[in-house]
Amino acid sequence: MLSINNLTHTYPNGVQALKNVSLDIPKGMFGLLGPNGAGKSSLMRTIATLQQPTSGTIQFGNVDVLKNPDDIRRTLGYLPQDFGVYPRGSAYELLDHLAVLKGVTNSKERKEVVEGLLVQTNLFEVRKKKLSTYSGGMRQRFGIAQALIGDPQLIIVDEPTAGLDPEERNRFHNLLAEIGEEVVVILSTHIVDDVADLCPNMAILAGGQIISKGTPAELMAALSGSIWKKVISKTELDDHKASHNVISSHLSVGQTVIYVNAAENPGEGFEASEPTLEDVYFSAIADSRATVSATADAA
Amino acid sequence: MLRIAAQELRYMLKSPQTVVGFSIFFLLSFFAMISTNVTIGGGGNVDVNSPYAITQTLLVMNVFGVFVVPAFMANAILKDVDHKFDGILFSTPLSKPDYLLGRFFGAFAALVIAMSGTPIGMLIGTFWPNVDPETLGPTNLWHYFYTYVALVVPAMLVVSAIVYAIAVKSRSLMYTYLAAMGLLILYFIGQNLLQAPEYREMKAMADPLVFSTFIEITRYWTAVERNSTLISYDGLLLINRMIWFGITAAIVAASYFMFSFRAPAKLAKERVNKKEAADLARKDQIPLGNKGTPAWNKATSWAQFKLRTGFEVSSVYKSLPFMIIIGFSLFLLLTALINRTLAYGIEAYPVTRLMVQAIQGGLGLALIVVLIFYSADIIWRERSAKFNEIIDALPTPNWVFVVSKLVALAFILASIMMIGIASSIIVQLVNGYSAIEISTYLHRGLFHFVTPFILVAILSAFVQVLSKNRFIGMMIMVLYLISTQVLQVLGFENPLYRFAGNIPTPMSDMNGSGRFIVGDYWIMGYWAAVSVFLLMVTYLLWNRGTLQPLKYRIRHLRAFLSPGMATATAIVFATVVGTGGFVYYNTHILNEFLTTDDLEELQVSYEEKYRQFADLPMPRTIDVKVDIDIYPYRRRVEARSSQILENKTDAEITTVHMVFPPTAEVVDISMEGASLASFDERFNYHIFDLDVPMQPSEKRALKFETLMQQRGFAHARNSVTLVRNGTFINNTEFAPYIGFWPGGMMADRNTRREYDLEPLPRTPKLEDASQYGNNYIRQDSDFVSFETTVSTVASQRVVAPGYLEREWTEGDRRYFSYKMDAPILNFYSYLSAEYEVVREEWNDLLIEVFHHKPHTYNVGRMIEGVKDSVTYFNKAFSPYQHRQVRILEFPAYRTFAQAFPNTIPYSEGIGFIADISGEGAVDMPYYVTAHEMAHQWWAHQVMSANTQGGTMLVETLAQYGALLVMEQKYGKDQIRKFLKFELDSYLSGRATDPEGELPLYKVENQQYIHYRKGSVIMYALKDYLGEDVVNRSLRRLIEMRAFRGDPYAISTDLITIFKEEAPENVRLIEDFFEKITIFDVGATESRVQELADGTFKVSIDVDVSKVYADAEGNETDAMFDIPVDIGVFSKSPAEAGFGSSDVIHLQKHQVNDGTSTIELIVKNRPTFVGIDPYNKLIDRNSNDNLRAVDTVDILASNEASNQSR
Repeated sequence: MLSINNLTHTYPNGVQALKNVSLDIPKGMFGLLGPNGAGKSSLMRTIATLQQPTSGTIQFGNVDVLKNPDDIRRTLGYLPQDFGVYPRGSAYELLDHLAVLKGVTNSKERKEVVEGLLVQTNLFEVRKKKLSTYSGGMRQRFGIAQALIGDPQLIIVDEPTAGLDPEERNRFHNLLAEIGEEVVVILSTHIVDDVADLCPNMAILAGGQIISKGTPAELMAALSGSIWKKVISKTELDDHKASHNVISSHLSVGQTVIYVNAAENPGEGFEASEPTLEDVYFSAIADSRATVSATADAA
Repeated sequence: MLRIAAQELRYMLKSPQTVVGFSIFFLLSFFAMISTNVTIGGGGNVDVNSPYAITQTLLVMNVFGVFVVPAFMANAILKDVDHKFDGILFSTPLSKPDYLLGRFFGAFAALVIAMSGTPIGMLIGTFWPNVDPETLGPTNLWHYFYTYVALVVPAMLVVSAIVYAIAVKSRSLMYTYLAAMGLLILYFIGQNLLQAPEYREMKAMADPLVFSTFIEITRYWTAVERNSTLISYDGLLLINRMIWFGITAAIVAASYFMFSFRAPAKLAKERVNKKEAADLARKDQIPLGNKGTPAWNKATSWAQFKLRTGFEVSSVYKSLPFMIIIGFSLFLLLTALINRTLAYGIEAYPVTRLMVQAIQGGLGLALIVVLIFYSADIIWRERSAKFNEIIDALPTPNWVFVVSKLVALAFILASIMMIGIASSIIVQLVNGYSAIEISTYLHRGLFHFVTPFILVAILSAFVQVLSKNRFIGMMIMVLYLISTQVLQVLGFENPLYRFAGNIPTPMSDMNGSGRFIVGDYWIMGYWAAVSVFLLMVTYLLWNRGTLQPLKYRIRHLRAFLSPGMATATAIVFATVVGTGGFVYYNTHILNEFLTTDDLEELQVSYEEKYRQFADLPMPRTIDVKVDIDIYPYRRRVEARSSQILENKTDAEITTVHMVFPPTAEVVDISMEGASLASFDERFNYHIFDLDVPMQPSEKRALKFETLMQQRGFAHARNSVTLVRNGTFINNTEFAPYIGFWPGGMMADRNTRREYDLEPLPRTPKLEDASQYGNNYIRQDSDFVSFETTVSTVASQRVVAPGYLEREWTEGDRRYFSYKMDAPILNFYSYLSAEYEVVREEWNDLLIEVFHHKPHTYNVGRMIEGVKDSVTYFNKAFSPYQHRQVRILEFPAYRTFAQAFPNTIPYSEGIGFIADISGEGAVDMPYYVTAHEMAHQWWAHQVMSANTQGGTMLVETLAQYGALLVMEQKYGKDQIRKFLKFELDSYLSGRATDPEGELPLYKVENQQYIHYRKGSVIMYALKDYLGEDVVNRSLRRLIEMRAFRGDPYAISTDLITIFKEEAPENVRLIEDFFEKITIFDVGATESRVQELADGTFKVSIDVDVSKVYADAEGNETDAMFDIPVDIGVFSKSPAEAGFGSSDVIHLQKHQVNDGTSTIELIVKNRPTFVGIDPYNKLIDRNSNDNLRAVDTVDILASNEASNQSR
């Protein structure tokens, strides 16, 4: 449905945000995972017509996104990573305003659309409050409501759950899940669980490059049998990092748990671990770091 | 704290505002110094680097400095909040005084460095080669240093502290800026409100920027003082500074205690009402899942456009800063609407023309502030709300955003003017004025005025779209606005390259906007087309999505190649070229494009070429016959004249030169027995060689035909005399001057120096007997016989001096034939307009007032003024020489009244719309009429020679006549008010005279002397010598010199007569006329004691002195030796309603030089005493003459109190 080919973007200061990114995104939820600064937002903005890439193409259905931005905007719902609101105006007023700008000019229909979305996003009770007084979760729900106006075929949500408490996050996931499978939804996030919970397809972006893509199940299956875990003391961590391919470590009840990606059991107290999506993510990132440093060494 | 201050200073020095601020102030004062067109402080005998000029420049720049103060002060405190660094910073162990005061002093130090651009720019400017060394005094660094450190820095400190307090409290850059603007507007309002002389001291004490204080202290300083003296910290300045340091300390303390590192949390109010509850119940019935079906057609775009425009407009309306600006502006506006002072404290009726001018003046500033701030605000609204990514990803076309934002801005600007118009109409109605001209309001108050601002708004939007952030854009716009002012004075006058440039479009009730506005609309059309192009570029470069550098966005300009854009561009360019071409055709081809500098060069080359002929003997005009055809709608006048010239010299004349004015084209010319030897078209200079020389007393005929016309429009100096309704021309605009015309030379001595020309004497010396046979109006003729036939369109009347012989109509033209029965000066006028005529026959005198139909207010007073003048002057001076008086209104493009023989053109801008219904108001229409009537004697009977002192016999005596007529009608006590205005104008005028002051009898056409000082002197003279003595002297002068040019009268003729008539007062006459004498009298204390017989003993301590001044103002002490009025009153003579019944005692007393006590016994109980209480003397400080009684001992307790003495 959405196909991205050889997308490269270099900022005027020389920073290369996207390097030759190619992706095919089918209908349904698509998770784009990546650490902070990986280029996720650059990619999202580029697809949302807010940024012209240095080179590459984006095709949505029959529409060339970069050449005909106005055409894609007509089927686009975009929730930016970080957005503010006009200092005056309630949720209702602003949604109504945006609905007109999205071409919903029939006032009766517009009322239905806006109220429907307010109910759906559970903002109906607070619809007359100034948006500037909304909490972070309410504001994100407002963000998704505005993105849904006009029945978009392509929805881009950029880091929607960052900073939300678990309850708000669940509520938000439910909302996203309701959007359905008939449209393309790209969810960019650095939270693995967001993808694990919602997305049938995903890709991992790091350093401006796609380092891994597929369905979560495929990606986890590919790692099957090569993830090992070990509980160590904090002082041993550096030694283990030096001798093993440690993809992640975290603290558990005062002790350090490390995960290692290796074809065979490294022994020394390691035990097999069933790969999770988190392992997929971390090992992909670890791989890409290794590649980068290797390249740097070679240079 | 010092560490923080130093850190802040270092930070500020690196930031743009310090560098930019320094550069701006450096350049402003540098260019003000080196430009020959801009002078601040200097001028005349005052050096451009005198302490006075330095102080004035620095203090004026300091007012501009208020604009940059917020950049420093707000930044010092707000940068942490802006960069969201406040959370971290405020949780550090930083102490409050360290933070608040450290930041303040750091930023203030940076501000002091930035503003030091002013003295440095000025100082460096004085070394620039093109500064005239004559205007420079020796360089004295101390003067710069003292002025900057002792006057500017403390004033800045006061402003900075206030602005800083606002920044601390509001924590908003926008509010801080607006508050600073608000303070500035308040400052100007205060300046405006406190304009009357009685508020001057108050204003001097209240001015935080000490500008008024400086003006007040130096008001009557002479050139010598201005060149040598710095203002010192005492008196007004000291009081002012103490007041303001007190206020500043209080503000600083208040803001210190109010500041907290913890920002207050804002709690929203919760409210659920019934309707709300019902609404919530509805929630379940709301259908879900309808996400809307967008429609993509023109109707959608139109709906989006309307929505966005309304949204932008309401966002601005609802913003607090906008309300603040409008509030301030309305205040400013109302002040302007209510104060319509004409002169002598007289207000004008609220005619719509004046109201429109008041709106323009009152709201112009608001439009500029709104334009600069809100164009930035509107353009950057989405980005600063961080809502841009959502908006920019919407399927709304770019044009909707760009156009709606600009339309909203235009709408807002227009609505500000609408508010002004509504307020103005209310003021008119409250004043009971009902002739409200809505069309004038909508045209001149709204459309014509606001359009250029809208064009600038487009420019501002364009600049904002090109800039990286709104502040850079705002800065560029401010620079643009300053440059428009600066470029104009630097001689860049062409409206084709001054964005939204214009040509003057003066207004008049008689002639509306005339044809001036047509030319202006062409220029406006040209700039509108340019603006459309800017709009197209703005549209293409509109930054959608992530802010991209300009070099990336430039790619979008490729869209100009698309057929639609290319066509539109072609149309726009065709319009630009078409309108621009038409403007060029009018300003450069139909009219010669001459800048002020070009005109100066022309004057110089005229002088170079022809001054050599100045002393050739020339014949004089003795007989004038003129036929004039006026075509008011074509702005064209054709003149055909035959004149007779006579050789009045003793020599044979072989060549005759004549210069036609630059306003006339010579169509045909011939002189009897002469052939044209040369004709210089550039200067309209004709030289005739006489075939047979002209012998003494021989007469020759001169015939010529000239044409005056205004072709199309010029960029400046469009004719205000050739108009549709209210043509007003005189013979100096179409008839030649015989011989070299001295008026064609450049007169200003500073400009002359720039061209290395010797200064030109303003007037020949009094002792120059060769000029005694020349009158000061024109030297090529004496009294002439005059007749004229003149025609105009059928709807108008035309009036010229003389008696109407015949009036007839031929086709669609009306003819009038006038003939004067006795010789007149060669000085006559024509006025053609659609007049209403009020006619009154009185004692064989026909009095007529020709006026614009609605201007009936003061016609009766004018007629009364004519009658009273004729009655009084007939008795006091001599019989009136004519059988009629005609007063003729002309458009307010010029504001004066002028006396021609039996004809008085009188501007609609002065007497006709004066509202003198106020209590105690000076009756200006009556006074002006009396003054012009007096000229029928003092100009048209006795004419003075072309020497120094000439205008004393014309203007001073006309003032004298008018004062006497006024005194007859309004009484002695009302004259005080008038004289105080006159005295004040004189004292201020002498300080700014470019060439130095002269005694009255040698006045060189200096208005502040012959009008202002003249009034005071003549009134005092009458008071000391007696009215009979003065009038008898004047009668003798008339007998001696009336209607004669052999010789004309000179000032010493009159002074000799005065001395003969009043031998006991010779010294006084010399003091008044032959010297510059400045008195200073004042009452320092007064006591009243009730005596046993019911009378009162009054003792007044007085201090009197007298000095003689020279031209530059150097003074020498002299002995005060004249008796002076001592007055005792039961009411202050300054109070309204004061009358002769309030005078207990008023007599001349001999008073010794220096301090003394005067004691007298009066019958009634006094409350006020005074020395020279009516301000008859030329008194340096006329405010200390009156004094409320200080101590009173009344009889009931007199025993005790007397003993205690």
